[in-house]
Amino acid sequence: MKNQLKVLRAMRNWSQAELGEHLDVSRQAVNAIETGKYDPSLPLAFKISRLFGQPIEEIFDDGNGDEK
Amino acid sequence: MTGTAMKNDKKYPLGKKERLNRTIMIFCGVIGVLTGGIFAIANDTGVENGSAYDLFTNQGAIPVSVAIAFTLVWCVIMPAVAWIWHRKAIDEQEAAAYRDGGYYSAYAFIIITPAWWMLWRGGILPQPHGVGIFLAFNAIWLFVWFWKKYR
Repeated sequence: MKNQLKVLRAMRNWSQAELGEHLDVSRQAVNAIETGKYDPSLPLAFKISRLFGQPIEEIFDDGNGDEK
Repeated sequence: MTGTAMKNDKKYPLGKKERLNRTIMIFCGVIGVLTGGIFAIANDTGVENGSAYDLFTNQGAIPVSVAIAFTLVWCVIMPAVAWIWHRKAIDEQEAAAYRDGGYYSAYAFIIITPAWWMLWRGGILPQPHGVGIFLAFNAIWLFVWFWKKYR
């Protein structure tokens, strides 16, 4: 799943390890999410959303944004 | 380190979970080396015609004390460490990688073991080797787990 995590992290000048600390996950997990190799669980997605103060759908894009 | 990290992650200390994760991995490695060493010593000195590689065979007696100690480590200490590891040391991405490893190795086991058994019954292959199958099962699990975690 595409996402804005790398951009949001860059805006705060955090390393992957620092973001991992904020989210209580490993650096590898942050990297896997950023590169779209792993889709976070709903609780982790909410945690990311709260951390960056943005709605989940603005951070993550499942490619079906235009569906009604 | 991947190209996607924008700052030097090496300067940033490991999180609590990752530190515990690595500690458990090192502990398991030490237990493994100790177990292998004990097997090697016990089999080289305690049993007639024994060899240090008897652990990986279906043949050769091992001393009863070593057999009981190894069984206790495997059936008591290993599950306890695994429980702590799953509960306290890994995050959801590693848990998913570990589960995927389990799926791959389980399917490999389900496919390969009966096929080998049937081909043995048909006289094409030698008798299935239990320890070999066990080691292959674990090797596949380990490979997929690490591949999914670090790729």
